[in-house]
Amino acid sequence: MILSKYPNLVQKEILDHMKYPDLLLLSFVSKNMKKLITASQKKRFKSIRSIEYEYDRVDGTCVVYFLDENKPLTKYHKRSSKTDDDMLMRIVKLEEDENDNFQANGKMIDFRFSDDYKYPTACYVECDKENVFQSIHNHFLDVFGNAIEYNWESPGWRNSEEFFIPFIPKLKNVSFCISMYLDGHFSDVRHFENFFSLSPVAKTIQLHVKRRMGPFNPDSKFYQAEAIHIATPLIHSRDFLRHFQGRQFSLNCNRYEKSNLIDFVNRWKSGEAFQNLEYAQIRIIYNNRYLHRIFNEIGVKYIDANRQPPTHALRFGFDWCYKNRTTHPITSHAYVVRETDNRVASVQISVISFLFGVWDKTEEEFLEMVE
Amino acid sequence: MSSTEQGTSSAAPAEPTTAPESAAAPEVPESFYYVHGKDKVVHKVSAGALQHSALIHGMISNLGYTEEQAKANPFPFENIDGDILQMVVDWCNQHKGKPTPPEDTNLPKQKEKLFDLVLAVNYLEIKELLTYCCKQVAMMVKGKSPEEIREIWMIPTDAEDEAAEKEAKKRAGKEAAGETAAAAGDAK
Repeated sequence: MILSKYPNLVQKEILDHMKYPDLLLLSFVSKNMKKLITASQKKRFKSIRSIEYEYDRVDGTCVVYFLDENKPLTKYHKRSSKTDDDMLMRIVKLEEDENDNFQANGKMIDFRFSDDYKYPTACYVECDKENVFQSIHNHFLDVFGNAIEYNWESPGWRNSEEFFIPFIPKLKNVSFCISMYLDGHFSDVRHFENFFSLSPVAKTIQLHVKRRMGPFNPDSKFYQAEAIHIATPLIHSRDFLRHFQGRQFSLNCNRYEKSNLIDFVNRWKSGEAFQNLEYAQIRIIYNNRYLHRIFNEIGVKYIDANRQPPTHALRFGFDWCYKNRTTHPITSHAYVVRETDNRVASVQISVISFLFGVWDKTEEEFLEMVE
Repeated sequence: MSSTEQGTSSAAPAEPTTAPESAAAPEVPESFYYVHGKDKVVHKVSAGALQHSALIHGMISNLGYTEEQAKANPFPFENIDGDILQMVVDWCNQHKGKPTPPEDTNLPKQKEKLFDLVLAVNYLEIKELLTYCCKQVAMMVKGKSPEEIREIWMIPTDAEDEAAEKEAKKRAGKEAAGETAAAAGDAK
């Protein structure tokens, strides 16, 4: 059977019936096959929400998942619900001396199969690890395109001293998502700083603070992350918001000084800091009584009480497992205005929360949205 | 043409009594048409069964043949092997007036037969059967290594593709040169 003898439409229909791991393997057969897949499956690949690398620091195994828009969203509500069916391939450290090499972007790569032949497994030797990851990733970019999200997920950094130097290969178009526990090894600020100086700027950081720590360097790449979520419900920890330079910030804390909160809003209003900020949420468990008076101290303006304010909500950037969630919707009559560009932020308080949502609108444009 | 009218066991030309739609609908005499492949063996097929083929359906929809005229003018499909056309006719008969199931397990397992069936079905524009066939072709490489896929679908290597491309360019160059020379000769 010679595939190329079929008319183009028939070839396309055959490829339409192939699963992603099989298409990926077909793409390794020849450059022309890769071209055929890229050209004929463009529409189908648009439904891939993201390709995600989950790297296990202990055994060096990386599982690559693809998340398909067409699959029910509930499939992805928990990390554990990613199944073998969502796997594109595994990349494992080579232990035996068997070879079944295929070329990916000029690099010979050793391929095996899972026992049930559901997905391919690529192997690497330690000294060639970075090259192998880069070649495979570049092959993904060639086949699936660069319009989809590529995430390198590195969950659960904790006490494992021997693995604390991150392995994050330099991959084009890949966002780095990390969750970390600030205790044990990382409660030493030097280790924490060292970790982030060795890592690319993160897309998402989830930080669980379990111990008080010394101050971080204000220029740390930690503060440049696109979205940071910090949980420090038991510790009165430092003001992580002050030097934040990214877009979404969420803090679930034991206490938060009123002066810090006022300082945050004033620095935003003056345009001195937080230029990229889209959303901030601070949840204060104790000593939060000042919240109900804070509006007077940050100089909020009010929309006419008889009119309905617009609701601010954005795609939730803190948690890479919950792809379709939005930030907590803010529907508030109170707002503040930035002096430098007249941009508006809605401000909302509850008994324990302070919510701040920045609009991509001037005050005039914002008031036009009020019903 | 050796006109061997054939009603095979599995492809028994549709009897009006077995056609499901005739049970509810008012009795309309079913019309039949005749097709033959490369082997010239003629198959009698009902218009209802032929509806699966967009190509044939388009050809017959305005003909208004009488039974005699239809018999005298079988549709020739010289590019389709007799046994493959038989499979197609059988499938059309089996699925006449029925919703097509999500899977079809009766397709040929041999690669070459399946290959010819796909080409025939694509030519005759039988959409559902083409879908089944393409699924089956796709299944042939499920869980196979790139080298196994190459063997099953006879995919050339990059080097072979490059050589073929060079050869095609060379040939095209020669043909163009030949045409230019011929045109120059004509001009003289």
